[in-house]
Amino acid sequence: MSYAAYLPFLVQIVLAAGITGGVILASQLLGQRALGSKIKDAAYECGILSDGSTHTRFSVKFYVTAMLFILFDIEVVFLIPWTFVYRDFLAQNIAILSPMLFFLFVLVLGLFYEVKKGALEWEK
Amino acid sequence: MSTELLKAVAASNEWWALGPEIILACAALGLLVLELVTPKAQHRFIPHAAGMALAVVLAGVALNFGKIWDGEELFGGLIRLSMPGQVARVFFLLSSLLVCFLATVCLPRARVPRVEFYHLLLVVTAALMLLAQSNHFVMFFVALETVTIGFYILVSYYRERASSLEAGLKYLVLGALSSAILLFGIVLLYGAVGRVEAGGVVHTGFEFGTVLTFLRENPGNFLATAGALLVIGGVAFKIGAFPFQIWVPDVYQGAPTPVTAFLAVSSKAAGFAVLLLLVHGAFAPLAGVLVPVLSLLAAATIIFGNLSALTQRNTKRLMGLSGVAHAGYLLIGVVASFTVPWAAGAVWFYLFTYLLASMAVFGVMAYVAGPDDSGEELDHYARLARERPFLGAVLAVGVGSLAGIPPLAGFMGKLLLFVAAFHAQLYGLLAVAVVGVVISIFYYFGWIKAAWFEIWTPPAAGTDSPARPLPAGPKWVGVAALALLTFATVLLGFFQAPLSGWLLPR
Amino acid sequence: MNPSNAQLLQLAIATPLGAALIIACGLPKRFSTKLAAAAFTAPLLIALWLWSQFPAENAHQYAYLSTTYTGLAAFGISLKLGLNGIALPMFLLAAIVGLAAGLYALRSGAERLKLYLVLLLVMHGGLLGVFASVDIFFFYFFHELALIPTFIMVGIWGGRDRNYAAMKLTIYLTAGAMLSLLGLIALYVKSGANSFDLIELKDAVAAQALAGHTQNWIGGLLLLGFGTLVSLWPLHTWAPLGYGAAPSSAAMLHAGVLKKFGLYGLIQIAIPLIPLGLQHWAWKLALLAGIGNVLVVGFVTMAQRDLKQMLGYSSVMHMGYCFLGIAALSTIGTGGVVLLMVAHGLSVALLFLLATSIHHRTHTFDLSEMGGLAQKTPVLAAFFVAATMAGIGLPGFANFWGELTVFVALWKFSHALTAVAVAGVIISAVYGLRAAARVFFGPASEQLQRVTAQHPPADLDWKEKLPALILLAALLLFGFYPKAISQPVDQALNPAPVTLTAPAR
Repeated sequence: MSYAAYLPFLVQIVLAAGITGGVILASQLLGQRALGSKIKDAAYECGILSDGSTHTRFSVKFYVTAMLFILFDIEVVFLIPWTFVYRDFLAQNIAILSPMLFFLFVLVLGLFYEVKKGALEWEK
Repeated sequence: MSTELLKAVAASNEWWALGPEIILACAALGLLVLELVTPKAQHRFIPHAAGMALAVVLAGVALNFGKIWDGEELFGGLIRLSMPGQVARVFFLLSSLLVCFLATVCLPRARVPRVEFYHLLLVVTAALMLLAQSNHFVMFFVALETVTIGFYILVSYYRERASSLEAGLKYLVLGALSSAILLFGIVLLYGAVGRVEAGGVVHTGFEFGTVLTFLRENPGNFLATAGALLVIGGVAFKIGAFPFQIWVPDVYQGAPTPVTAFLAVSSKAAGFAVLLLLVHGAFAPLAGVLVPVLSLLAAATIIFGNLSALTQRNTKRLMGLSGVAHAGYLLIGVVASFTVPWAAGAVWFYLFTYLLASMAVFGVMAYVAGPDDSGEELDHYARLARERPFLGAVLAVGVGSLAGIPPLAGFMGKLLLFVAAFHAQLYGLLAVAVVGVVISIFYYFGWIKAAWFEIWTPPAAGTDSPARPLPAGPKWVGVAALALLTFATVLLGFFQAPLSGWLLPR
Repeated sequence: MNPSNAQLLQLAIATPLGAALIIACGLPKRFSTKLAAAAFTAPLLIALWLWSQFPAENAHQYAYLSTTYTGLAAFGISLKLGLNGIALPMFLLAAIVGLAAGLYALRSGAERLKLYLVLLLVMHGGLLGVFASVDIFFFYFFHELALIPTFIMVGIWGGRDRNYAAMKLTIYLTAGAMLSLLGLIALYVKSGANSFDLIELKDAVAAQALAGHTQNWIGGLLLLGFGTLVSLWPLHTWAPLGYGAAPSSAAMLHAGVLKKFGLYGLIQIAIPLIPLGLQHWAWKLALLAGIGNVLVVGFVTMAQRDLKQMLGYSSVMHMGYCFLGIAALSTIGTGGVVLLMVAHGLSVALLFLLATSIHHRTHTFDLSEMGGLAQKTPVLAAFFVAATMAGIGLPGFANFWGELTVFVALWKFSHALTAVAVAGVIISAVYGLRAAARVFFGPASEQLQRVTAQHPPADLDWKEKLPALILLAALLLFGFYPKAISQPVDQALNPAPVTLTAPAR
C-alpha cells in the first residue's frame, strides 16, 4: 500500500498546525499585553460596563420550534429532487408516487399531532 | 447513477417481505392517532392496542417463519432475508410484548404521558428487526441509530425524576461516543474498499458483500482491519462488553423498569444478532484477528461483570452487571461459532432462555418496587416468599435460571455454550466461564436468600414505623404472564425440543 | 427386558416429581400429606419389584432400558433410563432412605410443611433419577435437581448458622458440580462418541481408548469435582457445617444418598472409561483419603462435642474408605465400595434421624450436657447403639462386609494404607461408643435434668419408629445376606460367565 496518497493530509495538518501556532506566537511576541488590567480584559460593550451572565436561559419552546423547523426543512430536501426525477422515473415504470405520499402522510400526521398536543401554542 | 440501475434496484423492492416492520411502524403511528381522536377516558385501552399489534405481528411472523427465501437480498441489497433474521424478529417481538406488559404495570404509577412510550416501543422494535436483517452499512447505521435514539428518550422517560434524567444523559453521551466509534469504523471500511466496478454495477464499501470480497482478497489491509475492529467496538457498547460496559449500572438503575428490561434483553440481543451477522458475513476473513480480540473481550467481560455484581445491593444494578457477565458467556459462543457452526444457534438458545428468565425477574421487580417505585434494594425482598409466595417462586425460578442452575432453561443454555466451547477447544475461556459461574452463584443466591430465608433483624432503633409493607401482588394478567414465563423456563430445562428443533441442528 | 418394567422405572422417578408439582400448585394440606406419603412409598415398592425381577446373569448390561426424546438428540442427549448391577443397589438405597426421610418429615410438624414436602419430593425424585440414568448428562442433571432443594432446606429450616451454612454449601457444591460437568463434557467431546449415552461412550472407548494424557486431565477434573461433592479431604469443610445445620430429612437424604453421587460416578463412569487416568491419580487419591479423610478427620471427629457435627465429620471420614476402595483399582475393591456406600447410606441416615429424635428430648446437641437418657427412652437407646455399631462396622451389619472387602482389596494396593484404614476403624469405635455412652448412660447433667423435669422425655413413638425400623431392617438384611447386593455388583464388574470368589460370601 502506498502512503503517498496520504501526503495531502500531512500537508494539511502541518499547514493547520503551523498557521495556528504562528498566529499565537506572533501575538505573544508582537502584541502589547494588558497585564492584570481588568478593564482591558473585559469584553467590549460600546464603552458600557458588561452586566449579567453570558449563559442566559431560553424557553424550551424555542427548541421545540427549532426542531420542528428542522424536520420540515429536511422534508424539502427530499421533495425537491423528487419533483425533478418524477417524470423520468414514471417513464421507467418505477413506483415513486406512493412511497412519497406515505412519507408526506407521516409528516402531516406529525403536524396534526403537534397541533393537538399544543406544541405550537406560544402563549401557554 | 443511471436510471437503468435504479430500475433494477426498484425491481428488488419487495414490500411484503418487510410487512412485519411496516405494520409495526403503522401501528405506532396509529397509536398517536388513537390518542388524538379518542376521549381521554378511553386512553387506557391504548397499551392493550400496542400489545395486540405486537402479538398479531408475532403470530404472523411465526406462522410464516419458513416462508422466506434464505439469503434473498432486497431493496438493492439493503436488506437480506435469512433464518437468523427470522429468529431475531421473533425474539424482538416476544421481548417487546413482555416489555409492553411490564409497562402496563409500571407506567400508571408515574405521572408521565403514556401513549408515547408504546409508540416508541413499537418504532424501536421495528428498527431492531430491520437491524438484524441489514446487509448494508447505511441501513445498519440508520436502524441502529433509530434504536439508540428511541432508547435515549425511553431511558429518561420519568422526566420528573433526577435519576432517570441522569441515566438518560449518561446514555446519551456514551451512546453518542459509541455511535461515533461505529461510524468512524464504517468510514474507514468505506475508504479502504473504495468503489469497485463489477459487471457495470458500482459497489461501495457500504455493502457487506463488497467488504467481504475485499477482505478476502486483501487479507492484511490495515485500514480495513482497523475499521472492522472499530465497528465491533461500537457493537460491543450495545452488548455491554468490557471495556464498553461502563454505562451499564447507572443507566440500568435510573431507567424505568420496563426500559431496563428492554435494554437488558432486546438491546443486548440486537448486539449479538449484529455481531453474528458481521463476523460470519462481512468480517469472516478477519477471523485471525477477531478470535483473539473477542476472546479477550469475553474473558474480561465475564470477570468484570461477576466481580462487580458481587457487592451490589440494588437489584437493577445487579441485573445490569450480571447481564454484563451473561454477555461474556455469549461472547464465548460467538468465538466458538468460528469453528463450530451450530454455536450461533446455541447463542440464540441462550438469548431465549435469558429473555424468559430476565423478564420473569423484571416482572417480580416491577411488583416489588411498589407504588412509588422505590423498592429496588435486596432488603425490600425480605419476607417476599412468605407473603407473596407466587412472586417468590417466580423470582426463584428466574434468578435460578439466570444463575444456570439445573433443571432450569438457563442451565441448558450454558451447557450448549460450554459444549460448543469444548468442541472449539477454548479451554482457557471455559475455565474463566466456570469461575464466573461459581462467583455468580454467590450473588444470585444472595437474592434468593433475601426473598426466601428469614433473617431476624433487630427493629430499627428510634423509628416506631413498622417495616415497609410488601406491595400488592399481580392481577390475573400479571399472574398469567409470570406463570407462563416460569413454566416455559422450567419446561425448557427438561424438554428443549420447542427451541432446539428450530435453532440447532437436529 | 419387559417393557412394562421399563415404564415402572420411569414411574418410580416421575411419582415424587409429579406429587411435588401437584402439591406446589396448591393442594390442601391434609391431602398433601397423604399424597406425599404415597409418593414416598411407591418408589420403594417399585424398586423392590425391579430388584426381584432383575436378570442377575446379565448384570453388567442395563435392564429396563427406555429412551425419551427431549429435543437434543443431535447432541446425544436424551433421557435414557435403565439399571445395571451397580445402579440397582444404589437405586434401592435411594428408595429406602427416601421413604424413611419422607416419613420422618411427615411427622416432624415443620413450619411451612407443604413447601418442605415439595422440596423433599423433588430431592427424592432427583436421587432416584441419578441412579437410574444411563445418559451421563441426565445423571448430572438429576443430581443437581436433588441438590438445589438441599440448599433451600438448609436456608429455611436449618439450625444454627443456617445462612452461612447454606451459602458455603451452595458455593462448594456448585463449584464441584461445575468441575465434574466439565469432566463429563470432556468425555463426551474427547471420546468421539458424540453422545452422553454411557453405553455408546463405552462402545466408543472400547473401539478406541482415549490417549493417556487426555485420560489424566479428565481424571483430574472428575476427581476434583466429584471429590468436592463427596467431601474428599481437604475439600470437605462444607460437610460437617452443612449437616450440622441441615434439617433432619435433608441431612438423611444428602449424607445417606446424594453424597454417593460422586463415588457412583467414579465407579460407573470413570473406571470403565478412563482407567489409565484413575491409575495416574490413584496414589494421590489414596494418600489424601487415607491420611486426610481417615486419620485427620477421624481425630477431628473424636474432638467433637456436638452430636450432629460429630455425625457430619464421621460421614466425611467414612467417605475415605470409599475413596481408598476406588484407589485400589480392583474389582473386589470396587464391589466393596458399592456395598459400603449402601451400608453407610443406611446407617448414617439412621444416625441423623436418631440424633434429631434425641434433640427433641434433650433440646441440645451438646454431648457434654447429655446423659442417662437410656433409662427413660430404652428403645431410642437400643436403636442408637445398633446404628453406632453398624457405623463402626461390626459383623452382622452391612457395613462390616463393605469395610472388610475394601480392606482386602487395599492390602494388595498398599500394606501401610491398610494399616491406616484399620486404625480408622478403631478411631470410629472410640468416638461412636463414647457418643453413645455420653448420651444414654452415666449421670444426667444438671441442665438436662431441668429440661427433662419440664418436658419428661417419651420414648420413640410409632411415627419415629417406623422410618428407623425400615433403615435398621435394611442394614440387618444386607448384613446377614450381603449376597443380595454383592451378586449383581459382582456380576456387573465381572462379566465373565463364571464368577470369581464373591467379595462377601
